[in-house]
Amino acid sequence: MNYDQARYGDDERNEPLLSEKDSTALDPGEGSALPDDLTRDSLELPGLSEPELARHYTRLSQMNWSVEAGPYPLGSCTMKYNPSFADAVAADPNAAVHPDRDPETVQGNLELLHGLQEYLATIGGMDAVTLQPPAGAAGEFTGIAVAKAYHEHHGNDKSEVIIPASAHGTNFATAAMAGYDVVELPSGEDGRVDVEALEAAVSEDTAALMLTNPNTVGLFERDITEIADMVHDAGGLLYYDGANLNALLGRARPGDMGFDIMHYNVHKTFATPHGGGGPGAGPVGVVDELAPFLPRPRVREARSASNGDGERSDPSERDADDTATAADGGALTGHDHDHGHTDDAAQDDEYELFDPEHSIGKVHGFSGNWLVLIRAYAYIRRLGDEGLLDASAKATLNANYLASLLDMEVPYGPFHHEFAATAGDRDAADVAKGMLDYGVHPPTTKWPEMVPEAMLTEPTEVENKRSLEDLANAFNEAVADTDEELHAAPTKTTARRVDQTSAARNPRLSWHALGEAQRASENASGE
Amino acid sequence: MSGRSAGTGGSPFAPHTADETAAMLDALGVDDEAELFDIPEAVAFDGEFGIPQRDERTVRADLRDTFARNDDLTEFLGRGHYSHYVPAVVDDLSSRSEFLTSYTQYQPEITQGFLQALFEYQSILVELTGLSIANCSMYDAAAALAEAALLSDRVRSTSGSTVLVPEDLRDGKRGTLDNYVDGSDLTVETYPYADNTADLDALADAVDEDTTFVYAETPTVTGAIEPDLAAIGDLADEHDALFCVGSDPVALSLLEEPASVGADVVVGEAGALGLPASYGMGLGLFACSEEFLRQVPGRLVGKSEDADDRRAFTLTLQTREQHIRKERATSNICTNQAWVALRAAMHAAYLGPDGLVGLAEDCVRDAASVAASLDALDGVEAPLDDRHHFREFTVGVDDAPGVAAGLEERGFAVHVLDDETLQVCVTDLNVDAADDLVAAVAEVTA
Ligand SMILES: Cc1ncc(COP(=O)(O)O)c(C=O)c1O
Repeated sequence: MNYDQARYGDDERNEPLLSEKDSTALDPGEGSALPDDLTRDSLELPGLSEPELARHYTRLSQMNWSVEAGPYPLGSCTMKYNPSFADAVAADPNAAVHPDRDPETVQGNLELLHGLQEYLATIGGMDAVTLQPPAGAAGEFTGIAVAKAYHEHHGNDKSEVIIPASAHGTNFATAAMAGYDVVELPSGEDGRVDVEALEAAVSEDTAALMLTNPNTVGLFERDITEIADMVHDAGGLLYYDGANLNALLGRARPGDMGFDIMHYNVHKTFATPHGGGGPGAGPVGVVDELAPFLPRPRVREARSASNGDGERSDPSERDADDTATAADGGALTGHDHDHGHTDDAAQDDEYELFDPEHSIGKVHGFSGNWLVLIRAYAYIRRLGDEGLLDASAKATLNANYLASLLDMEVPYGPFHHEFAATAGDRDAADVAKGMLDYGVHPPTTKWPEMVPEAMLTEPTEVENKRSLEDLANAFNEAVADTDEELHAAPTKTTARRVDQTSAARNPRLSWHALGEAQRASENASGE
Repeated sequence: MSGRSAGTGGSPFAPHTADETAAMLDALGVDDEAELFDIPEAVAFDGEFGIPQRDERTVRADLRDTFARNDDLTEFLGRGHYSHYVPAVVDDLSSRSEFLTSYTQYQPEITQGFLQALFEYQSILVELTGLSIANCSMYDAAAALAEAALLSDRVRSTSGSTVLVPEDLRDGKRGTLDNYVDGSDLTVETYPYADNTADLDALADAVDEDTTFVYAETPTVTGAIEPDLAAIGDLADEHDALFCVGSDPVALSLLEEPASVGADVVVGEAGALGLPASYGMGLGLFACSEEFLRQVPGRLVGKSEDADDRRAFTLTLQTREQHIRKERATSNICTNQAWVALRAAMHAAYLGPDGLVGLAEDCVRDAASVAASLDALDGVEAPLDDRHHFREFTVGVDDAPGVAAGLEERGFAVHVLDDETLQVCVTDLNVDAADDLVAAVAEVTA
């Protein structure tokens, strides 16, 4: 394919920085209503007129790759098309409310959150869901914190989390953040969990095993039931990393496989835009036994109408894990009966917030990435059962079809929505740079390490046959290029090969640092 | 359109025609997609969630109805989630699909646009904080505070393990902090407030050699501007503790520059720029001094050069991060809030320094004038402290829940802090309704 990415600027640089377009210094304290000792003395920032601003960011956008521009088969990232209607829904001005609103006055928000909790629980085969974690890694942290609270509650002395070597880096970092020792599990010869190695690793110290399924090379862990039993027998919990749920939609559910805790990566599976690196959302589902430990508050249907004395509902009608709560921050009239709100309002209520009995507390300042959650809810409603089932069908069909067209070996199979091809004696990172010149984004490279020179590829369901063939062509052309050609690549992108070593060795992390560097070199040449 | 997946009840976003699907299946030697799945019977699911497929128009109409169930109240709410008017051009430009539908810049050559935007965002925060490093986002202010506390654990050579935070801290921040430090050796303790800002004497008593981190906010959760930042910074410094200031980019445009009062780290809610009220979604501001370069959590964009020696940007110092360092990473964060950072930078560049300072100045003047109007009412006292205020302030009344309920009936939302205290937040978005609010308070308290 003929392809040239936009390039603005000159021989030295692309589009100028905001600070190179304008830089205005002023003394904010001058004329301030505040006394001088409370104000800063200077502020120097760019200010652009609206037309200049529009041009600046339009140019930057044109120097950026995106799902809407073409294939973006980053393995493990599920770069689906993000439907426009979901953006439109999320832009509803009625949804743009403050988090401290009295829950009675934001019933629409609670209805959506409750609906999404239910959808996710059903899709994952879980009993209870929190929507608070703002990304997948935050979901992992929440899930492991829940496991830890559960173990502590039951007096279980646990110190280890087992993680397969092929797992995502966030799994390891999360377990360590939660204070656990990480036990790394080598992959079996077939690319799956080595059940014997697991048996050796599992002990009474095992707090949890973190797994993703299909795993990071797309293989289904066929021994999942045996694995679950093994961990459970040792008193451990099974954590499901939901990054790969797209492969399973409608075909298998983590809850049915024996997982106790999972996170959903809604920016992957449920098509919310990745936003250049976020925001995402990482809701967490758990089985009943762990529900009392979830972050607070959660949303539920109001149990009963007011009984007339300001009491919201008969506590005996509630689940053991439910206790009434006032929203944080002193929401208007609160939600607890101390604040004596009117009975009328209570009777109209359908949804309310509550604190799970042994809640781990908060994992986000408020209730998570709301604009992302709206889109996920809209997407699930749009697709319904048939759409979800077709998403996993076409995602898996696409990965298999694409792999069948490649002049590269795929060491492990049968795979589902993604596969790890090997670049063999070529450097996978170089092949990726070569692919950039074909008008596609390359796959994830050099990960997982179990595949040498891995090119972890996940086309998702949104590519059609023709586009997969173009993508295959990019792989095949690039891998056949000579080393010199690959080292010279890319040539058609906004920037040619970027010097990583220079960036790290001499960190220049703001335009202030550029100024200093420039001044330094000017001084040097002046000497 | 017959033959598309959508026409057969499949995913409307899987573009395959029936013929294409057949050809692909044929090439793979299978009859249908189900044959490609390697799922043992024992754990297979029948596909029935009971969720009907709906067309786009229906979903939009349903959700419009859902959100219409929210009461239309004029919000005078803040306490950590602030919204200012966001110009339409920010919505427009940030919604360009080239930004919205891209991901982390693993291939810098083809993602220069977003990298540059993030570099510009970092630079704006460097200017506002006076510190030399800002990352390209944490999830929100709560996560940023928690990450800052963990940073102190990594960089302080002392044996200290106490994190000191104000007693009056938003529950979401305190709760997130408690969870993040739970796996470390740190413990969280509080110091008291006097008159809604730090009680300096009590803080001096609380800080000791075991202190590794001191956190102060300006404005505080009740909107008071902290007058003693430099003294707090000195206290922290004398005990070799890290000094962390919590603020937001609008306040930072006008208030003392954190670096000038000795801040080692600045955290806060950067979504005060660029983000409309969004039910608590945020943008974690994280900036710190150069000495912590190798210990910063999250992503950093740096300037470099490409093969033609032209300026180019790239994610850098990635050996700090989870995908390389695994359990020894500085944080587990991967996906962050990049798109919100893009919007914040756009908004800042739209306002420019005079616009930012003007907005901040309005936050001071409007809060003072609305407080004065309320204070003039019988039985109402505002503010309840002697501080200068930014956007918000506390209000004393006889029956706060009752007053708030009365206000709600009249179409206003305010915070209830306790039986006798309300909190009111004034910004450019609600200031035009402030007279009506004052009149309503007068009515309700009469
Ligand atoms: C397998 C796997 N687990 C966890 C994560 C972390 O998710 P997030 O980036 O949303 O924090 C990712 C995504 O990048 C992933 O691919």
